[in-house]
Amino acid sequence: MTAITKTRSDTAPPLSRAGLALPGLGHLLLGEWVSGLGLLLLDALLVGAAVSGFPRIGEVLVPGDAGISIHAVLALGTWPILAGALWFTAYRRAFPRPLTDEEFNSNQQLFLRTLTRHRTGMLGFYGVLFMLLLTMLTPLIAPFDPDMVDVGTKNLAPGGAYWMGTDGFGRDVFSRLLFGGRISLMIGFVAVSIAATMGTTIGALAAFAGGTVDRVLMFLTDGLIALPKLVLLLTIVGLFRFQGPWGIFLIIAILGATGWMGVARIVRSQVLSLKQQEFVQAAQALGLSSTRILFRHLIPNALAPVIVYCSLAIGSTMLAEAGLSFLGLGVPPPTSTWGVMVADGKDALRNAPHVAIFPGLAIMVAVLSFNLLGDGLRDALDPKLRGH
Amino acid sequence: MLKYALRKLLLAIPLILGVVTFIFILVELSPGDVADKFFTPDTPPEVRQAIAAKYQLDQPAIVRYGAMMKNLVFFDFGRSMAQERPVFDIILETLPNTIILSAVTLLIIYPTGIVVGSLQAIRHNTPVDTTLSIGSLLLFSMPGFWLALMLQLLFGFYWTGWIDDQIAAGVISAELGGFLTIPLSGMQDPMLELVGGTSTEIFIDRIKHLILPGIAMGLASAGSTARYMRSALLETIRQDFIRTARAKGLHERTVVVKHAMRNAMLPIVTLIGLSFPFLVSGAVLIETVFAWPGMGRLILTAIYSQDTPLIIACFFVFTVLVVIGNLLADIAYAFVDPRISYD
Repeated sequence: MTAITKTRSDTAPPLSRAGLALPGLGHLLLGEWVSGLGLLLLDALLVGAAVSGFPRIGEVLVPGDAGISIHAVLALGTWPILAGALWFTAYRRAFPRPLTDEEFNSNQQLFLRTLTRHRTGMLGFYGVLFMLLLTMLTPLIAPFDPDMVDVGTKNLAPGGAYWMGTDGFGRDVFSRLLFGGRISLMIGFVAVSIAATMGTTIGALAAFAGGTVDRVLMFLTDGLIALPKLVLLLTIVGLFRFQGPWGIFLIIAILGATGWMGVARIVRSQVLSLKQQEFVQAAQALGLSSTRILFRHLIPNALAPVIVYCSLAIGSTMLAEAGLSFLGLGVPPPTSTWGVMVADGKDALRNAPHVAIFPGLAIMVAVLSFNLLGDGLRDALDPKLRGH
Repeated sequence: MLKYALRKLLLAIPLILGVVTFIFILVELSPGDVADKFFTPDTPPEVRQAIAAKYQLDQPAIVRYGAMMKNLVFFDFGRSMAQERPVFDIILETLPNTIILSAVTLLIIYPTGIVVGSLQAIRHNTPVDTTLSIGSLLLFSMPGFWLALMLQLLFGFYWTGWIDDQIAAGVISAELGGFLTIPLSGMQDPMLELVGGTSTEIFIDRIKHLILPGIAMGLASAGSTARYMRSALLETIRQDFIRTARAKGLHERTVVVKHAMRNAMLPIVTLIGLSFPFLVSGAVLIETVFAWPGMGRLILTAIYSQDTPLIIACFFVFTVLVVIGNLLADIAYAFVDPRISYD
């Protein structure tokens, strides 16, 4: 106990108060450079959105004849929340809340401490946060209409008003990158949520029911894992050709429905081992129903590795979506994602390489962030690895 | 061992049948009549009937399913609707190309991954380790098709342009320049056989066409193999028998190469067999970028043209490849680790 209480610090060094002037500065001065730089990056996002968006706020809110844009309203709502969250973080670093010993040694605090000390994990965390906020604030930041075609500005090199140049239709690559990222990230999150829900249910059911149910479900799982995922995806998407406004949701549903097998295996093995433990026997002795034991005792205890898996799966799902879109079997036009943008750029690779380079880099940074975050979460959630 | 292999193969039969059935149902459920693409509104009814009868499209799905299953037992996949010839011939033409590319890819993935991962583990927590870690993570997070495009950009346009400049400046001869130029797509130079190139020239040409697709397919997986190898070797180095080997006074290189790496590589052997599904998935994208006439592009064209027999045959081949890969992994594991026995 003494060894743990020694490292406690309920009073922050005075340097951390610099963060109150500019969130992140305090962390940086204390040598916590990942958190410091991450927060400074978010500061830059906040300022950038304000500088770019506020002077033309009317234009942003009512972009055409279609009335008030819901995305712009969301972005305007996000801005003060982000500002509040940034300064609250800086305030907490400068004046930490005193914790009782019990709180300090709680699982939650232990998890938070391990994660915040995990440098690459935090790098991934800030990367993911940055991307999410960037896509939320997109209407304020994007300098151009992403779908505005102008042959006069075809394939311009990066520079000037067009930060990342223009594509073959004269559309601003930077604005398209921002708007495309919204779709790419949303697909990753929603598809993995579907996959995680399906996988948890199927895995837990298989382990809990056992017998024939287990065998049938696991045969299905192993069979689907054996198939090359991308080939299966493009067969389904290619055969059904989802068009119209619901096309994108069907793609997401299919990405989810073909991604649950990994989660099912993890949850099954977790539940199988948890089932033997004493707290489950105790619950049974208390006369709790099977459903209650499954949903309140077994599944919550099996979720830690699922969270880690999901963080990594978001990255691979985004890669799968990009691959589908690249083959022309992704989201139906006019919706654009990063994969579609790389495909747009491949035909003008020699004259305008930037059209393909930037969206590819964006995919890489996003997937990298999720991978780093997943590694950090694994180290923070896995008690066996703690302390290494 | 033989008994085990046979049992595994027998167990694979329901899997293959399940996959084929699943794909058949998918095709049946998909919108649009497969027959429609043969006909225009002006097609005379008798021609319609003749074509429909040729592909048994006039019969109910369950009859076609039965006929397909019966033929599959004899590896008869039927006739391709889009290419108007037996599917078996098409597969026979295409499969070797994919196997060549996959073999080259595996040759890039594992040696690179094992060497890089071991280097990282030996130089644990040094700048070498960090740099290589970042490198393999970047490769691991990169979309493979984008890497392929970047390789085309780099080697196709910039490298070739630089060589052309050197030839023009007279620094290197035109012959050497031609040798150093790397082809961007396809499997071979169609002109070479027409102008009567020697077999050596044709061989070199084939190898050169493999470079870029092989690298593009291999690098990403090499990154993940390196990550795997690094953690496996770090785990092994901590164990007691390594301390014993060092205490015996063995040279550090002998300890690492002969004692640690050999043991750390055991799980990697399994990875080779299990990497088949990923190879096939990657092949679709990479073969598209590099116009490589393999199975990945074949199934893509089959899907675009709703060529049912070809789609089902492709899935059949993929599943068989995966089953063989799994079996090879098991056998290889028993081969390298004498403690494993399947009897």
